[in-house]
Amino acid sequence: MANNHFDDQWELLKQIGSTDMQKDVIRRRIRQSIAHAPSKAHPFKFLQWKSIVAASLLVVIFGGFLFMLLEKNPRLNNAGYFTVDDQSFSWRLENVTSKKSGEKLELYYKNNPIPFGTVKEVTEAEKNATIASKSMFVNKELEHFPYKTNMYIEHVKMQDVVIRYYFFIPLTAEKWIQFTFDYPKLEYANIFKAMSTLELNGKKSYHHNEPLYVTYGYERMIYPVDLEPVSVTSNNNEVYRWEDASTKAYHQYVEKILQDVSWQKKSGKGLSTTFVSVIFQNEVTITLNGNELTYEYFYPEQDE
Amino acid sequence: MSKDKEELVMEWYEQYYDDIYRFILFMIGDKQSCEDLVHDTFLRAFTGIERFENRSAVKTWLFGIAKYLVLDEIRRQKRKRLFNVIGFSHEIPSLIDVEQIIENRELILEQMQYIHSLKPNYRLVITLIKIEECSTKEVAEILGWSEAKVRKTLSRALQTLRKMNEKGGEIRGEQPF
Repeated sequence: MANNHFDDQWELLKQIGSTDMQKDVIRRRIRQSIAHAPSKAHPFKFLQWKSIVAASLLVVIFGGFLFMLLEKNPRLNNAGYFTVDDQSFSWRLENVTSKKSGEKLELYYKNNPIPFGTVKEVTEAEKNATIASKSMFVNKELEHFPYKTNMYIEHVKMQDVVIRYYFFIPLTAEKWIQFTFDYPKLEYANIFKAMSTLELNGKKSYHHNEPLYVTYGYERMIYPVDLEPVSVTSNNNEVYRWEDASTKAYHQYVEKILQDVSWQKKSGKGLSTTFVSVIFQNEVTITLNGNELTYEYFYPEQDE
Repeated sequence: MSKDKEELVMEWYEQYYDDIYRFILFMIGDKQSCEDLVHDTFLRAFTGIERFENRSAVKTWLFGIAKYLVLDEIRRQKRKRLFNVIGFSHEIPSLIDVEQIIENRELILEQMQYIHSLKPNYRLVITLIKIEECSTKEVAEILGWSEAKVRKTLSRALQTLRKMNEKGGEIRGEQPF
């Protein structure tokens, strides 16, 4: 192809743009998101401002107590049951409080004033309407969980909610209990800890006697269900506390990963194994140290 | 203060919207995702404005944010594609809307398709240099590469694109994602 013709094409491609209407729509969306964006603290010198920080902490602590008192004493759900329209439940995820909001119950984690999820009772028709009206990317039945659980993942993609999990558990032929959890307000490991240890009042739960594994978000890698996040950062390094960690459990986990043909073992020594994805060529090294399970993801340079 | 920040970011929006939109469209090739990412780019600029500090040009900084978001989206689409294969996804991708360019529409769509078939790094340099007319130095800053690497990658990308044009798209630089 002649160079001149090739250059002409660049000029044509530069003409591509959006319409004014699209620009207006995005402008409105940005304004709206900014209005709802959490305010952010400005950088400051700690030593110079430590008294202000200390005073603010006191205000936050006492404010927190006051808030809890005014909000009709939200209850810690790991200790007992709380009610959703005459239904009760508990789980082993700690530091969760709840507050009734209309028909639903809002869930809060570690006194964060922004709810991370909701619980409510829905009819079959309401459940189907929810599923049909959202951009659900994943639809899966969770095997061997305490109750028959249908999981959906909505791709929300907002600043504070990337994806929203929906879990539906049948209560009767017509009624379901619906749990929603927002990631990253709540880490994946915490979401699955809640659902895998769920107890519904008056409804017998099933306890599987083999290890359970789940995938996180859109990922293909499986994770043990009984993990507690220690440090999960965006730079491809994840550290968890593994409740049932043992050498046997680790080797069982490695075998389970290799049952998925998309992962191949690249190397392994002791309690550290590196897997490579046959599809995307990314690698992950999974290491067990005591009861600490570490994942180090590596994405190969895309350039030659 | 927050209002000032908002107005500043909205000024940037008016000034650089077209550049950022076109860059993301060429990188992602999907109108709906493109609009989402343009929104996310300016929102990130608003929330991260303290980190800007005029160390680079606003446009370069915005391209840097957009680059981070598109690469993240490409990685996500890669995963989603896997779910498509195993039947989990229900998404129908939206199409590129270039109705406003009636003349040469087919040619433009063909070229966009070729560019979108290039691997992400090739797409980045081609879009930034040939479409957005950034200098090598600016691209090096946006991508965090050396200028030599930018030049080398551009040369390879153009070579691949030329071969595609010669052979009607038979040669693909890489998988699109």
